[in-house]
Amino acid sequence: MKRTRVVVTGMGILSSNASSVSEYADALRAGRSGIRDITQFDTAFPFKLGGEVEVDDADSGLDRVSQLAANAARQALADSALDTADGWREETGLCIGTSRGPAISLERLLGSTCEVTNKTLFEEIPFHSIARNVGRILGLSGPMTTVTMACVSSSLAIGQAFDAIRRGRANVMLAGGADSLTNLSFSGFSLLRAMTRSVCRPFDARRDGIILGEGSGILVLEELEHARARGARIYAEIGGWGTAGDAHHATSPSPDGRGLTLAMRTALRQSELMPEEIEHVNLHGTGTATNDASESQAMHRVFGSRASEIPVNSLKPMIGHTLGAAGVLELAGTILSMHGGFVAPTLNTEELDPACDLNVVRGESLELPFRTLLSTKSAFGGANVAIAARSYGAPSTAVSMIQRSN
Amino acid sequence: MSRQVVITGIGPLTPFTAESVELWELIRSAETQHLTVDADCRVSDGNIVLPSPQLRQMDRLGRLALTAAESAIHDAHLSLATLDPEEVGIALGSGYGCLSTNADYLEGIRDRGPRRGNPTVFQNTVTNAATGYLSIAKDIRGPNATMCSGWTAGLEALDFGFYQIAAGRVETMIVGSADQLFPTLLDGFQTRGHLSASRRPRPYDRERDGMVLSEGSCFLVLEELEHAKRRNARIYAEVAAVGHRSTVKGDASYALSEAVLLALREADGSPEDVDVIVSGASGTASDRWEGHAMASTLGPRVDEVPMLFPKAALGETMATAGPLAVALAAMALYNGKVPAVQSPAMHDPECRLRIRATAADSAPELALVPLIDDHGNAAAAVLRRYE
Repeated sequence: MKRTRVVVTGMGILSSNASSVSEYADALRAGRSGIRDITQFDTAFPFKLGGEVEVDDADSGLDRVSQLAANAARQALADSALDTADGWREETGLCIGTSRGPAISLERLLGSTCEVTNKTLFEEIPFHSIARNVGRILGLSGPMTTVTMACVSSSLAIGQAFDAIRRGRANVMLAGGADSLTNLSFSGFSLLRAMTRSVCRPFDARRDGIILGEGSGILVLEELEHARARGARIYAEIGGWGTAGDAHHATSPSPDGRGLTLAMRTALRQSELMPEEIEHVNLHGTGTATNDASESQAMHRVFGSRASEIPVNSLKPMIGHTLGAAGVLELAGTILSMHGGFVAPTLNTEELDPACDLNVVRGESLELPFRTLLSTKSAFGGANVAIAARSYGAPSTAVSMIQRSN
Repeated sequence: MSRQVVITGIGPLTPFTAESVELWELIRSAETQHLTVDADCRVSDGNIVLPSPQLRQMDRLGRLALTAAESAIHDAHLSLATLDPEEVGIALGSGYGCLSTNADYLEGIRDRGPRRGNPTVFQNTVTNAATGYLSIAKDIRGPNATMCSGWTAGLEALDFGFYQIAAGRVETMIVGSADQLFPTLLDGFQTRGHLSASRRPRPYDRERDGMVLSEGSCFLVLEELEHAKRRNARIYAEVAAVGHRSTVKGDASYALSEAVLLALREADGSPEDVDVIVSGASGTASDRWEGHAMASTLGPRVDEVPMLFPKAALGETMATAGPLAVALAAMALYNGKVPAVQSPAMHDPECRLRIRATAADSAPELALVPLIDDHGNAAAAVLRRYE
């Protein structure tokens, strides 16, 4: 049976260093950071840095997280030119991933005694309000779903949307996620001692923690023939994805990276890609001692000796750890890098930790044409997701697939 | 996809049940199918398992889920230690997830300041903490997912698990849902006027006055058929398909019809094949949307197909309702009978259904589980009797 192929035909990006796809691509190539003092709330800690986003007030009645998602979704639709086709609302589905969801509305509701306000806030507090709000704004009537899996939320959303198309349940899916900076996150991660006191420097021997960010990314995933029939611009093909649990600890990854290893292998197998065909890996790279070392272990288990050769990076020093939005923002950034022929730098990282024996791209962007990539994310609860993508119609990939079929 | 997926274990934790046999006994008798309560329906703390010392920081949502998952695994006589942990996966659905724990954390930092929050509470402020704890407690290392599309999230977790097995990724999935009561939720539904003043849920009755909010967790053990046969497992039923659609309008009947038709189509079935419906009606105004969808998809046959109303007996358990209804459908198929129900005292013509009280002992072959929520989500599961 002919396998359904899924391609990316549009993107919407809202991050602390960009408010459009083109700005994002430029910022990543230039290594431009969006990290600055948070203004939305008083962090109550001496450390006040984060990746804060400027969002217009088009949807000001909604929780901030819905505003972020709606902005990115509008961009993605326009970028894909999908909204010029007849009947797109009926056949387009939506899958949103979020970690904190509408936490700001919950905080307001807990402090409010106004019955009218409370009625509105009560409608906002379920996680699913984001997909519902975005669906209403865009007038969608395809399947709308919401997933939540901490820092891999939007990666899972992309995986679910990919499966929906593979299963023939939709031709087009908007997929991604959103998370906003909140008191809840800033306080909680600070008290867990997961926050850096200086800068986020993944894989560096001196790394001391994460820096928080917010944002939203939405991809337009489309069945290949559907995209070709309407002459859509194709950014990349999603080959496959994998999810796996560490079964190790509530907040720390398995030191041997076993869950991530299985997630990566599943994504490769589904994509019909061999490990030696992967040219770039965008890692989670949070800047914590445990995450980065665990990822390095997983890289070595999957890629063997090539693990220390494949160019890898983390985008978090530029945009912060955007929690549930990290998966989509970083996959989108990596696909844009593939288009531009470069690997974005891991800012702030200088002296590699021997426990992270990887080829971390540092300093400036690496000019590198590449055609295959993996993007991996890990989360609280030991959840891991890896997504494999390739450039559409890449000659090397085409050859290897032909060879395999023979 | 040729791999068949079957249900081999059921763990229904509600304020009234903890094991599969208790759920069936509750629904089997028309006398016990209708709930009248004078207090909130909560799962007694005494019925919730105590996790190992390593997992003592689990919040209540996680403990509810662990209790139900253990009940399902026990019911399936499944020894996870004998399986490859990477060949077992887990999926959890929850409508409100960790919001109760988030409220606890936020109230703590509101009262004491952000620098005096409780980090142990914070690590439970992601809904997938519950999924993670279950994976640790049971050493489950395969696919791992947490869904939160409102009250259909439990059926989406079922769909995720179904697809992981059907597509050949793993042999076994532990899937289910959990939702719990907390003050913000009760206040919100009270303010919206959705709670029954009589404290008696009456699905499809013209005099129905709202839902009785309840809580719980229900887990199912799913296995690939040959895997289940090899270990001589009791097979309750086959999961034939799960469909999901949604709408941005208030009327969810069309979305539910679409979900039902999608599920029937993927199950290679048709509306004529449906032998029993396990309804999601809770006694609110929204019952009519389910009634319209059943009438439009099943046609004139709709009044002949026996229906069960688990929410009349168990209250509204939110995302847990879907897996609970699937559990009942599976047991009806396994036992070859559909218990009699009490018909509504007064039929509501707006619902377009006439509920009959008769029992059906005619060995149903195909069961339909429809479900909608107030957020525009609609889902439907189709189960087939295993020969």
